[in-house]
Amino acid sequence: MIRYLIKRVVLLIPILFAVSTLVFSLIHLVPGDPVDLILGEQSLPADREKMREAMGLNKPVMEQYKDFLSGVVRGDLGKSLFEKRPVSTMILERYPATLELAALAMAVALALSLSFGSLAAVKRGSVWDHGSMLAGLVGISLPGFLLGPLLVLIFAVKLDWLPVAGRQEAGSVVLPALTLGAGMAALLTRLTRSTMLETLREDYVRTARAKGVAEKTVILKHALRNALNPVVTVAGLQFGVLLAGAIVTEKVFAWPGLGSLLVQGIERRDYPVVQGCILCIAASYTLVNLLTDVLYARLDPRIRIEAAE
Amino acid sequence: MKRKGFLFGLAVIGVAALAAVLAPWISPQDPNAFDLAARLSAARPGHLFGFDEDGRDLLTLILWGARVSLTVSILTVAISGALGTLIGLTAGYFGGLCDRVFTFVSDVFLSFPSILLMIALAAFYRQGGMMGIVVILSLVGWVGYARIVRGQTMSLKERDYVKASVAAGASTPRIWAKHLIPNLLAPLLVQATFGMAGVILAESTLSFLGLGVGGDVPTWGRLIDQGVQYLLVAPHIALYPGLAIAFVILGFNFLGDGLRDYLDVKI
Repeated sequence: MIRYLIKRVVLLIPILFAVSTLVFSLIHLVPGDPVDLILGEQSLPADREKMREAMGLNKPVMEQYKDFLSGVVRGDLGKSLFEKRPVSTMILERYPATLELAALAMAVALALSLSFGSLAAVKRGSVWDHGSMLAGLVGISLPGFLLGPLLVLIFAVKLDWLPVAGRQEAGSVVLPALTLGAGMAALLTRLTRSTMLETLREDYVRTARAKGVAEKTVILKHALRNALNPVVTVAGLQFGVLLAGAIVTEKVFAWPGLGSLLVQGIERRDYPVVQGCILCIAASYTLVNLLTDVLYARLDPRIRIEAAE
Repeated sequence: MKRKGFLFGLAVIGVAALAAVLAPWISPQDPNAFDLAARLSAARPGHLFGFDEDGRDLLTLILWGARVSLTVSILTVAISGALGTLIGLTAGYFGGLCDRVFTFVSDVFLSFPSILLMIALAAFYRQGGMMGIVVILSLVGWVGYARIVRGQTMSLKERDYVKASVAAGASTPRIWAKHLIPNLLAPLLVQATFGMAGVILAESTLSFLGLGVGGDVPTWGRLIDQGVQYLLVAPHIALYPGLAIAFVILGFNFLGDGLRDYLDVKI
């Protein structure tokens, strides 16, 4: 297991290095002067020089790259051009809100997909099955910026059960979590159904039924438990996707997380903030993927053996 | 159920394509015509979907928005599909260093959630207009096609008829054109159909975040972005363009599902 872990971590280093390089390159590959992008082409020469100095753009590119990488390693992502505060501090302030939203969205997705996916498999060919699959396809096709407003109109405006936006009031996380989790639920429902159908055909399920074990126990204890592994793995790998997907949901619900910090950075042309947020989300995504792989290898020895080979 | 879904998808995409092509002739109003007295007002005779916050007819804007969404998605799918096919074929057919470089590059691309990579590129390259968006979406989208083509090519090149062709001295372009590409068309068609749905969603997301096609061009994502600000007083502004996006994406997903079953493709 330790060999597998070391191998995966070693493989991660060049990927993280390449991701950092890509994020650094973003501003340098812009056609023309990057300062134009921030201040506009009509800005005063003195302001341009000041900005160039503030962002370190007056140094040779290789030196900027070295400074950027050493900053990333030390957790120094530069200063916000607008708020004049360290970007890493701003990210740390916002990160818990995004994690909370993504974790609850994942809980919503797992609860919905495990119930409806299992039901669809157990009652294959029934109205439940067709209904779940249709709901899955609709869920995948419904963008967060449509589902979010729809949920607000129904649950916040019409029924007045939940707050419209923000994070201050109790229950304010419910609608953003439902919005973010719906697409994931649709994907996982289809996966749960197909893995459950496979598991239900296994010999041990047939044996359990032949022994006279109650159907509920056969489904929950024998079939679902074994169908869980691939579903949980995909859910883990998709957690990083939720962190990125939160950008849209946070904008719809004015949720004060990393996504809204990124959108604010884009609107204000505060590029150190934009770079910092992108790097942080990409690194989180990579680390969550690593964690999922390692956990899966811990649960399933076949993965470790295949990797060693 | 699958057949019905396929036909539903075909019908929805047909209607959307017709709306996009005929927008200049069937729109109730000029897309730039303003009626300030009507701003935010709901549907009324002659204006089925009501008006936006500038007093423009919403149905007109949605019809013109269909042109943007479908043009961007067709161009993006064509460019990323062609690029991905070329790269995937090269990596899968030649293997060795080519394949190792491809695997590393695609791993780096996949270490970014695609939506984040698109936002990152669009945040820094805002001046490109519609072609700029197509380039950004193609830069992100080629990896999916390349991975499918690489996998299929690796399996196809081990088939007897390809080996026989190599032994008979056929040139690489001939082998690609005669044996590999015709066998790649079915999975590529299915991937491209799902890809259309993905690109429409991506383009709308960028527009919603203020990073889409610039200028005064009406796009579905931008309409929703504006509509969300007036959600409590004029929900129709966000609702109708949102439904248009959802129906078109659903249509392409149904179409892709149907094609996948009909062509017996596993992707």
